Amino acid sequence: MNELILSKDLRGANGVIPLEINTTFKRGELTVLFGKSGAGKSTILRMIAGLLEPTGGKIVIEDEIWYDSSKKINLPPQKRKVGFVFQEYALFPNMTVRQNLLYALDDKKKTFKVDEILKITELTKLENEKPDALSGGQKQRVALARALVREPKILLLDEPLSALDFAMRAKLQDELLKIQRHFNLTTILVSHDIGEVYKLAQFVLELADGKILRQGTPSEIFGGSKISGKFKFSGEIVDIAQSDIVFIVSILVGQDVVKVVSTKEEIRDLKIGQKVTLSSKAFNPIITPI
Amino acid sequence: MNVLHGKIKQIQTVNELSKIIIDLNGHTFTSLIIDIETFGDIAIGKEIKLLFKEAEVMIGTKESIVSASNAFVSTVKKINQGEILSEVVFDFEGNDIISLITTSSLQRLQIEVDKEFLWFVKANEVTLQKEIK
Repeated sequence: MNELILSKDLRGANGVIPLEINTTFKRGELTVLFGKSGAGKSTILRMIAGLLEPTGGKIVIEDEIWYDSSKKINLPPQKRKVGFVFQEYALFPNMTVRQNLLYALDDKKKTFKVDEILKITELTKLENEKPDALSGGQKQRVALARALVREPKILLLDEPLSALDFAMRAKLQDELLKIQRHFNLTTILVSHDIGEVYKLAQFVLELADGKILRQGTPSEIFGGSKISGKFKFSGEIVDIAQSDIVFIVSILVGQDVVKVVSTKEEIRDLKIGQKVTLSSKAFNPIITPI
Repeated sequence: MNVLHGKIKQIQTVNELSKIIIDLNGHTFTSLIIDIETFGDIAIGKEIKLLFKEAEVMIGTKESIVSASNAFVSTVKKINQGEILSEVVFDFEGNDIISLITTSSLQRLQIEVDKEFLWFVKANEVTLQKEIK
């Protein structure tokens, strides 16, 4: 079990906001910190990594105490097994992909670890390239691979995909999920993209002004389960197109694309790539024998 | 989607089928749902959201008698006329209710802004959503 009890004064645009967090999250689970900017999401990651000291509290990761103000325990960042990936890739430009990964390796003899991670992240073919020769998506994959090389107890992802275009983001989300499950790695992801949260999160902590507003599974938080409709599916919007004064929203449900008529007002809150719940009353569907 | 906020006034259940009566500033709405148990904790006095699609809202003249449980006379606030479809926006107690009908019906009923018409939606078309706290 992992435990976070944190207090810290956040200095935001509207003055000082006290951050007060008290939560636990499961080992091997992907937890998303969701909320507006300034809610304290990145601050929490930085405190877990040891880059910022809380005013008080406790940080326990995989039953190891990293910080406990009452016992005066505060492990330095290098003693905390953390993999940290930011929106900026922060790769060494003068080093190849492989050298970037080797640099992060704690035990330099374990180069097989680098080979293994290059393979899992599908970077083996690019191992001798320098970052400048890579696309944004590839660079972010290298940043993730480098974080994994350290064999972290916790992976901290601070909006790592927000600079990428939709197609690349969707692809990297799939890869991230695959890698996270492969290593059964406790992960905290900061995101403000509901579609991304639906796709990746096993647990969501919604933050506002330094406090936990709500916590639960994505559907508990975002309301899909609070609808009475009996004909209910989750899907992803793949297209929105206008016909006359209405809009036809195409939604990928499983392997099928279904089309739903929506109005201008409705589509204002919808965008391509977004995860949605599709529901209809049990009275509407027509059954015909085949 | 049309969204209204109300309070549950009455629940009548026969086997899996339930009729929920909702109060909205003195107006009564009816929603039919099945399998109320899996919908969970809904009780008299609780706040609830009513959702129904624009295309399910029909329009009649003020004097019409209809079978739909949810029928109200309101003033037309705005009309957005398309080639095949038109949106008629009603002012219902300060809430916008949008009805999506064919442009030919709009013309047949001579619907115009500031005129009063009956808009109605069947109880089986009204979806309930629990208020998220």
